[in-house]
Amino acid sequence: MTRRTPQPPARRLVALLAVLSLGLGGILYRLVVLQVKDASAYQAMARNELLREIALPATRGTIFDRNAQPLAMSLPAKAVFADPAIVRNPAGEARAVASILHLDRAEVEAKLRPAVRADGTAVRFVYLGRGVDLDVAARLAGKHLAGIGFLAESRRYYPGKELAAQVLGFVGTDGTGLDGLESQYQKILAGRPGHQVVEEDPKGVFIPQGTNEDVPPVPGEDLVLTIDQDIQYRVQAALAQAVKQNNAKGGTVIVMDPRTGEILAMATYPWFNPGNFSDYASSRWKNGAVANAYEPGSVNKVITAAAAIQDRVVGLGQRFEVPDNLRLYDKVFHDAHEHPPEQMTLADILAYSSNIGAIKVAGLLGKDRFSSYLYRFGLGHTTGLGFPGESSGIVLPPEQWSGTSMGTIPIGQGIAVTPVQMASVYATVANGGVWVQPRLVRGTVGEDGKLTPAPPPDTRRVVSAQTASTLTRMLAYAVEVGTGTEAQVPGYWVAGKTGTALKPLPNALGYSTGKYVASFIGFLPASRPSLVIAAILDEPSTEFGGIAAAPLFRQIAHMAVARLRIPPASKPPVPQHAIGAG
Amino acid sequence: MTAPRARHTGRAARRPKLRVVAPRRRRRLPFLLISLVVVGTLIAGVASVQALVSQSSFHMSELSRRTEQLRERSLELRLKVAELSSPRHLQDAARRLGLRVPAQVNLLTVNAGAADGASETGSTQDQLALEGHVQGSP
Repeated sequence: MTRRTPQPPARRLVALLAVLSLGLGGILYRLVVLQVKDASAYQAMARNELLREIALPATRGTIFDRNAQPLAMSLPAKAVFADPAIVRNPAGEARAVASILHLDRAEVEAKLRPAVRADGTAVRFVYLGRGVDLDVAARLAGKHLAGIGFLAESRRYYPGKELAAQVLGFVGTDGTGLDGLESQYQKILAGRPGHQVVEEDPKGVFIPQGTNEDVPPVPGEDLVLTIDQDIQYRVQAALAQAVKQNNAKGGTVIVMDPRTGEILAMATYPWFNPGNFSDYASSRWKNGAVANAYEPGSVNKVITAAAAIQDRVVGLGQRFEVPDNLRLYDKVFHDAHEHPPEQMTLADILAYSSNIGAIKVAGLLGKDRFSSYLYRFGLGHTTGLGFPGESSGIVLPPEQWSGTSMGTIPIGQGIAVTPVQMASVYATVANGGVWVQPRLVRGTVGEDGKLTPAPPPDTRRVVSAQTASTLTRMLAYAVEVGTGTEAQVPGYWVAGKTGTALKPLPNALGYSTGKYVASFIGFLPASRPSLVIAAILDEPSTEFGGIAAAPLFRQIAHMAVARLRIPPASKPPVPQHAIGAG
Repeated sequence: MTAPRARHTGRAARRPKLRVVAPRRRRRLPFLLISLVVVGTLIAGVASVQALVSQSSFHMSELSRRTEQLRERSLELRLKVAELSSPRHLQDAARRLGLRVPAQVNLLTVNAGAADGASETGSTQDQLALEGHVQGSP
């Protein structure tokens, strides 16, 4: 019997050492992988498990009227969303969500059911409601529904509902300005969102002393408008009534301070409620006062007269023989009413709105000089308001005028202007011949609560102060005895002009029959103008500006002078030779 | 070589005889007690501070939440005020109270003698109206 010789323990020890070394090496390798190579990834994973980033939306700035009355303001709200992959009971949860958010249950249930995108990935996010009030969201959150989440956002409110709707514009569901001043001043109003990173336990309970990164949002600046809320409201009420009374299709009114260019009211009927803008036809969203170009008709004669006085092509006492019709090339122009040939001064031509007289005066100017005044008064280019969708109107360069253009344009046909352009023309006359850029914004208010005034408006002299003064007296004469008598305001001297323009056909080939734009644009008190008011009605059954629009002007002027406490002023000075008749 | 040995021998001869003594009992209890007290105090202190910090943190969090709630409430009330003071609401309220917009605005005027250009009149006989004397509904 042979006995095995025991192996020396050193070999076993070496084997054990090798095994241990391998094991330790593996552990070391794994340690290096975890601690060095993949450290940042695992750190991020750990952070994501613990940390939660909360978006902090910036509060959108408030839009105030000139008297610090809020016209648009934002309140915090919640967006309600769902992750269909987590929703356990789509039918049951849809019932709860639909009842609290007042939504259609079937639609909500369809959103809560698992769905797949075109690329094959599962839908993990779907909105159930936007701009949900906080208390409503809190009620829903109290149900602890699986897969239903909330995001902080804000909701825009317009306390005056339809008040100045087209001026203010509106914001989309994400709070971005889409139209009007909301869009024009988006960057100023929006502010800058912030965020907060907090550490939470697996149950979502905030861990104090944990990571707490806080980047506060920067609220948007407030906007202070030139609009006067009370005047705006009364203007809208008067406009709606006038449209109804005259069976008109719509209308526009602008109230402006000629000295500063500040617009106190701007309304276009029909309007809409910006809080529910999607419930209205998009045609109502347009601010017709700046975006609608129309043929102004006889209100344009003020430019013809201004050019003639300024360039001294007409003696103020000079009388023209004015028949009731005049052939110019292939077209015969008529006055509004038949009359035998009359001797008329320039003041009479304006007062009685003679087309033939205006054409004769323009003929003395020539198209180059006349067209230069159209541009100098601001027609053919935007006013500088910067309003979204603002139209520059249509004024062709004189080299493109046809043979009859010197018949149509002096009487306000064959060109297109916006109401705000035309109001600015009268504001220029009211302001002593100086054109002032119209404006809707007085300034912005930052976090410090101080008003930063808007840059001063551009100004330029268009005609001399003497020309403006003479013209003012003529326009006052037109209201005193001419076509604008319906615009008289008890106690005040009013200067203004009526306009009755045929509407062009949509194909631009001629004019429609019986469809007019009736207007009256004027200012008061005539000798110390504080207000310019443009009243324009689209397709009134009463047709004439003196009948349809002048009473609207009177009603608004009557209200505005009382509201603004504008005292009457003396009769405008009479250039001795200005009035040749009447 | 002989001299050191002789010196060594001499020292050994003088060394007293060693004897076994009973091990000296070290008194550890006070040290343990003191340590326990110190450590316990430190732990209690740290825990208290942590609790206080946590409590303050929760309090701050609660205050922040409350501040936010009050801010939201303030905004809601501002909206309510804006709605109630809107011209439409005021007009409706005035109508319910039986108020009407005056049909005629009356101008209170003073003698026109001192007024510049007062001899030329509008529809009223006097020209100078004192600011603020225009009566009517805003």
